[in-house]
Amino acid sequence: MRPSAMTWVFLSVLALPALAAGQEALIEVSGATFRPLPIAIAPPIAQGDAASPAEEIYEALTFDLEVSGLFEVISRKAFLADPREPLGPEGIVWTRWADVAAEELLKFQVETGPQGLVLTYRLYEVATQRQSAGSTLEGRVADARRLAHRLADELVRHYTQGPGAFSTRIAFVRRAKGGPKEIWVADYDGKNASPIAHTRGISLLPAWSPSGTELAFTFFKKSLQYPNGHPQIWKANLAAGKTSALVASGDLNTGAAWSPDGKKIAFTLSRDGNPDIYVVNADGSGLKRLTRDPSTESSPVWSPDGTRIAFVSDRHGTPQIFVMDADGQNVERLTRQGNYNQTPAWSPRGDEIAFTARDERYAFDLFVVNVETKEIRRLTQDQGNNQHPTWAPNGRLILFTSDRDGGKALYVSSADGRVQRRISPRDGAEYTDPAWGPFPIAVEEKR
Amino acid sequence: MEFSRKEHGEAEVRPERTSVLARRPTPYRWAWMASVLLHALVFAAAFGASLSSGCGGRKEPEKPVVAKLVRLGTPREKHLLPRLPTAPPPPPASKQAPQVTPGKELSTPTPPQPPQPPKPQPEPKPTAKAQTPSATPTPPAQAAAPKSPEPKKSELDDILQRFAAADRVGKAEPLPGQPDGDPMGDAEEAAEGERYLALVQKRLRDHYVLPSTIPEAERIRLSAIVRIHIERSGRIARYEIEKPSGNPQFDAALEAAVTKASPLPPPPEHLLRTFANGFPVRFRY
Repeated sequence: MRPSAMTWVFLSVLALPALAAGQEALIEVSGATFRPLPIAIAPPIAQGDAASPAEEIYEALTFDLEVSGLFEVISRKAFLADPREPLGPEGIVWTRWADVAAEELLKFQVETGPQGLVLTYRLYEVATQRQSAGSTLEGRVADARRLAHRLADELVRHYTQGPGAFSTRIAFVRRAKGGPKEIWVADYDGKNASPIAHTRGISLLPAWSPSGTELAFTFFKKSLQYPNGHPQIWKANLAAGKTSALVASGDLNTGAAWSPDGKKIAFTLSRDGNPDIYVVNADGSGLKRLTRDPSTESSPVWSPDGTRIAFVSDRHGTPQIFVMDADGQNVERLTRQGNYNQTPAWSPRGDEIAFTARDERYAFDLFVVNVETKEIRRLTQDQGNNQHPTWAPNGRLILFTSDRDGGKALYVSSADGRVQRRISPRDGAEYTDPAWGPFPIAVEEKR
Repeated sequence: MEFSRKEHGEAEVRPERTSVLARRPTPYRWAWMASVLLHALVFAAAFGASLSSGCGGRKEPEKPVVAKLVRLGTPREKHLLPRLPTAPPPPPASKQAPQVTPGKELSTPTPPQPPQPPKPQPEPKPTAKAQTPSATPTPPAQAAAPKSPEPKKSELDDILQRFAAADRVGKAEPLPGQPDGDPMGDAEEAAEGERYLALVQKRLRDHYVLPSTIPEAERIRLSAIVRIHIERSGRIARYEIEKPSGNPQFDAALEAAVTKASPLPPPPEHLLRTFANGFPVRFRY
């Protein structure tokens, strides 16, 4: 039977309350807590005389994965598995790993080969008992730690599809007891540290060239005119071990920052006691003034795309973070909380700027401000004074100075501030002014 | 003839009784149509009005809105830098440990008790003698001993240590809120709506944990809808993933969150009917 027009009317009337029932509240839940992935690193399987480098690799790898903030490395003491368990997958007793709540299992073996060390690793998913990654790395025996860093980089890439920053270098200022402040470079974890070619006098604020081959820094050059030293911008070629002056005008030149294309250097220059931001070509030519304000402008840093510069200015009374175009136009105030904000560091992703601020309890701590929303989040709290942040080139780690444990030391932290670890040795020296170097060139080419 | 007439007459009567919808002579039919249409229009108009104004006497058709419960407390001054929440961190850690590893006792061999220094138990003397050479062969391993030379009742010790730890990390300080806030609130600014839904939202968010290894680029895209069916008590009877995200890690994390969030707070009477078919929850990064 063909439904008549009236039947349709009836049906539509009946449908109205059903429509009403469709008015459900949709509960939106966002803002997840991110949980580090529980991973177990099985005790290394050492072949031949590789036992001690294998332990060194294990220790460095554990440190890398923990400080990454991505993983929760399960304590070796908790392991129930047989330490002689093979590389697998045959012979792995999975329940033993599941029982210690490991979701991922990393097994590796180290042996000595003709080139030095040969590291073979396999990564497993405990729940599915499947191998998800695996490879072989080789390196010199002396570079056991760096082998671990490369493995950690591979793991970070495996899980996040982005590069790890464990094979990068850092620069910082080290001051031995009673000695002058010197520029040093080291691996990201503070190991393999050495001073750059010596220059007599105080050196501060190192800044990496984008290629990682040069450092710009502030050097207090003594002369008859300046018996206490004249702050100048100097450049060090790391491979050649040579240093040379770059800018030496005015009464003060300090706080160099290399532009991302490596062609320019922004810095603070003061004439007649009024510091402003200037830019100079990387060869020292073409000095150009960017800010013109009777107040103090300092600490310039470039945005990763090179179009903008963040800096500190006290033009409104207290030091605050500002942003301007790379030619000095369109100055904009970024921070409106706190009354002593300084040492900005632009994140490699470009969305955030880390900085040091003094809070209402007069403690210096690390904060991050979102460049677009200007929202501020806090990284450190209630652990001494924490200053001078610098980002790892992949934006996942931050290096800074802290006096939480007595003297000034270097600490590395996951970008969310959750995991913080000391990297500088307890040798009585003071460590300040950290600067995180770029990716090694080989990695850059690969990307 | 008579026979056939009778039959004919019966046939004429029957259709009038059988159906209301059956064909009628034209004037009645149009009257019917007009009447039904008019009713439908009036009903639709009234319904529409009640929907748009929200002041119709009927409660059901109103779409409940999730409230934003502002935290009870004092507001933080605008010019100050933010502070991290300093709620005592140890308890949640020790609570979560067994949750991560359900069932097996074997699996939790490392309850986080590092602050307990090894202390000699058989030492009832309350006086703090500087040196007790006899009874201390064990501690030198980790002894940060000079600080705590007096072994007292372990419970008191424990409490004191916890206080000391809390002091070191910073005292648990109140989070900023509003003086007229909700004791269960967790937002700094309020939004009007259904309080119960806000409580459910908070409880789910508290258990919403994702593995940090999900790449940032993918996080932005992740979204899934889970339908939750609850009992009067608030217990989650069942749930189904109505619209999965496509990322198994993410979906598995949502299932874990929903399971752990049960029981939810018991729903108020006026929402029981609304929740008869469960309610949808959208999870986003």
